[in-house]
Amino acid sequence: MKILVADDDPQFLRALRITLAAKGYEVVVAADGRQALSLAIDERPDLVMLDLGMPRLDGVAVIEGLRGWSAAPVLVVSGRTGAADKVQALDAGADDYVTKPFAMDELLARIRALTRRVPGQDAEPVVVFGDVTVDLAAHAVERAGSACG
Amino acid sequence: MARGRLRVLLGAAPGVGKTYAMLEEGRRLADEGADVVVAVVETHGRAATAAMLDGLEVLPRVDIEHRGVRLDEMDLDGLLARAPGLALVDELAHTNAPGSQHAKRWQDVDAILAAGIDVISTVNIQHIESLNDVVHEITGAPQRETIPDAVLRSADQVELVDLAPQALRDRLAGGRVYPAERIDAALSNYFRIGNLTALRELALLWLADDVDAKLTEYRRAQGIEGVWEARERVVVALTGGPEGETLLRRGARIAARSGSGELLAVHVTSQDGLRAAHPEHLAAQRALVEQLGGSYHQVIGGEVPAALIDFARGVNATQLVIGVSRRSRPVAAVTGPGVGAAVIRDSGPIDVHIVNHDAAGRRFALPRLGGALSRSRLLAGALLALTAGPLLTWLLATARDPESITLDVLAYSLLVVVVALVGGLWPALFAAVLSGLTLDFLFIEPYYTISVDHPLELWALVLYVVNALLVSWVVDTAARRTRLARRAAAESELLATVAGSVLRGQGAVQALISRTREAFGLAGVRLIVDGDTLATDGEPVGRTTRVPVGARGELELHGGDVAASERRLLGVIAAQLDGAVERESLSETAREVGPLAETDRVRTALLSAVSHDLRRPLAAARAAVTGLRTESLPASDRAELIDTADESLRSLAALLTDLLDVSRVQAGVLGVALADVDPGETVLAALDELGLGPGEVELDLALDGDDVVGAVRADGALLRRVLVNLLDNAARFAPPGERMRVTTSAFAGSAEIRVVDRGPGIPAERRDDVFVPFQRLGDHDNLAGLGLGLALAKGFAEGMGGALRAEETPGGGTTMVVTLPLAGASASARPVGGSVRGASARRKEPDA
Repeated sequence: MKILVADDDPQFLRALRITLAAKGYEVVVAADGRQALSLAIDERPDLVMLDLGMPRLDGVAVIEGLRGWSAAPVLVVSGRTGAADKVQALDAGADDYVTKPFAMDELLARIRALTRRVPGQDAEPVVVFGDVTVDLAAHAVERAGSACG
Repeated sequence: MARGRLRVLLGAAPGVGKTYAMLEEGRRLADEGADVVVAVVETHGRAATAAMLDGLEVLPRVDIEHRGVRLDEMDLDGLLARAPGLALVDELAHTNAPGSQHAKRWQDVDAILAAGIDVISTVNIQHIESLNDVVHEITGAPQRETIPDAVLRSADQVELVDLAPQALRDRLAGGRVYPAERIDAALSNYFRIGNLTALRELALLWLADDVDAKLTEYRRAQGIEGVWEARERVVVALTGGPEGETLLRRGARIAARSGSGELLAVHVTSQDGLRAAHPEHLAAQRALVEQLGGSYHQVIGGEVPAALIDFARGVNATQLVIGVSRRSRPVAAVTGPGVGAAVIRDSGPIDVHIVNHDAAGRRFALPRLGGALSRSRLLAGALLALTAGPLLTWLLATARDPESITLDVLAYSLLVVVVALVGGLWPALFAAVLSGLTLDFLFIEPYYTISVDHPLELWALVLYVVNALLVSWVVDTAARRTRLARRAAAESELLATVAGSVLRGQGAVQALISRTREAFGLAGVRLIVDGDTLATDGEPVGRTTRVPVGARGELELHGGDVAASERRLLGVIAAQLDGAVERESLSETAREVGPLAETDRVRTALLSAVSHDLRRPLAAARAAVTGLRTESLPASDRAELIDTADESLRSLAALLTDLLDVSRVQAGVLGVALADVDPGETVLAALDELGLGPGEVELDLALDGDDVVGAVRADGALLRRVLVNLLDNAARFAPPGERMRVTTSAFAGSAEIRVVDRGPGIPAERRDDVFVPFQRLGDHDNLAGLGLGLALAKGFAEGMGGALRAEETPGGGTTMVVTLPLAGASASARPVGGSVRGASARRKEPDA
């Protein structure tokens, strides 16, 4: 499992790189927003950990950049504690939000939770059997092209 | 052989472009075919100047050895042997190396001129002998190289190479005058705007003197005589009244405007001693004249205008200031033209200013309504009726004739009309009845009875009275209308003023109050809002009338009645006052809220930044410590995690220290222990702390040799913190490969430590802002920290009695200058004497 960690504090990056590597994750680090985006493209991480306040490109902008094409879970790890910041990040497409400082166990648990259900590329919310089509997302059942029930 | 001609280019300060101008002129002449040789030029490493040498013949210099030191000087013998048409000799005031043919370069130039060679040379104003002490006083730097004034005065041409002080500062900031390494305390002090402006003025004045002398010489040579002094002499005539002060100030302004004008005040005491003059006014005005730099004179004369003109002519006055007459118009009509008119008639070539002043009648007042005609006119009409009536009766009675009745009636009717014109309705009525009775009694048969036989005559008499009544009614109405019109005009003027002053805003309330008092002729007016007196004018005496102003205020009118018709106007004024008061209180609120909002914004930003900056290292440390608890971690990773935790905690500690220091500085409880501190050693300690070495920093600390900067009065620990902050900041902005510079230097009782970087620099308008704490808003640039460093450095420097300022590095970048008093220096600045000696001080003198 490959995790991209983006933060502008070199000490934080170093601590996470070592700790996450010890837990068996493959870690890629980025020191600013722009580097985070380009690494996400090159490395195709399974999870992205982002700081919000970063030079060159803000964390929210990175999330928006990612969400255009990637479905990888995004975990925001930030020193900003305001509800508005959390709402903005989550609305932009983040999957979870952890405030600094955090307990490492909690962070690891959240990483596990987020990666438990990485959406498969072929997962389709529509099941077809015979001439019946069940759309799980739309809560609709069709038979031979006409709605029923 | 004809002596050569000397042209000197004079400059106010180094760097204005004298040498450049000299070379330019040399090239121009060379292009025209003149035989030009550059005898000696100091380019001071300025590229533009060096480029000008291209294509000119440059005479090699000669080496002169003096006590083991090799100095190069102009080759005088070589030049004389070469014998060009024109020699360019830089720096006329230069002192030659010992052992040269002449001690001074101007003596060399003398020899060159004697050989028939023309010379163009340069000199700075600071080097002129007679200005030596003045320049020393202005710049604080003593000048050793001087040139006698006579040498310059005898030059055929002296031209000023002029550059505005700010332009020169820009040139300096652009690195086009000196390289950054040369800038030290003495030089940066020398190039202050104030200094440069003073030096420029000196240069301009010196040249003006020179031009003046040459002009006088020319006049003498051409036999032009009778030159009037082009100086204004302003005579102010004082009557001894209170308006004298206004006149004096006006006169002083006229004198000042003409440059070096002279102010004379004169009071004419009349021979008969009848005119009223207040001795206390005159005494006060006499003091004022002296304060304004003028002189006071008193003359005695029968006729004031004649005495005034005589005095003005006697002192060669060009301007005469007198006040507007204080007499009212009717008095003036009776007593003939006033002093003003007479003075203007006789003034001849002297310009006469007639100045208005407060004492000249009432400035502005509403005409009173009430009776159509004034009481005095009423009285005059009655008097006329009483005196002209009997006179006319006597005249007509002497020529009484039965046939003259028509003439009698017409004469009396004329009398009634005249009385009506003068005194209006009531005197006219009085005159009509009286003349009607007189007519009947004296001129209508039967005589001496008040009876009318014929009904026709009765009708005639009635018609006569009605006529008189109608005429006087017309006169009365006209007078009333005129008065109303005048009143309306005055009211509308008052309203216009009222509206205007509210629109103009500034001090509107006070202006309104004063206007109201003037307009209604009151003793005093006071505006009270919420129990506080907001504005007042005059004295609160006499009867009080109150007018409400808005919901909270009241306008108090003292002394004088306010008629009902004037209430309407007062209502308008009260409404305007209310608006003005409201406006003032609103703008006050805005003023109060503005900084609050700003503080609030800063506080919010500060809170988020502080919380972020505190959380950041804490998160890293905590993550590192958790990581350490992981089993089976390789030793190298373990060591790295410990480093991480250590560094994070250290930066956390540093941040907390800064925060606490800032609050200490802001609370003014900084504990400062002043001692004699060696600035050089403190710089080294600060560099050590930051781990900066020669690869990053270039030092010019003058640790040994002549240039030693003595100890400074400072708190060693605080000074070190200041320097660490400045160096840390400079290192952050230094472009890769560019070294910072740290220099120390002393000047006039204080030492300067300059931290020079070649970074992007700070725009001039932001230069003060960088010292304000919590500059960085938000958390986007963690490397920049909270922006506490520079704020702390400034607070510490000022806490030690020093200063910290940001300057532009010549050629780009920022130079932070820490100024501290030298140990042993008294509080007042004094020129450097002890700490900078001989040769080194000479090096610190700016050269051209």
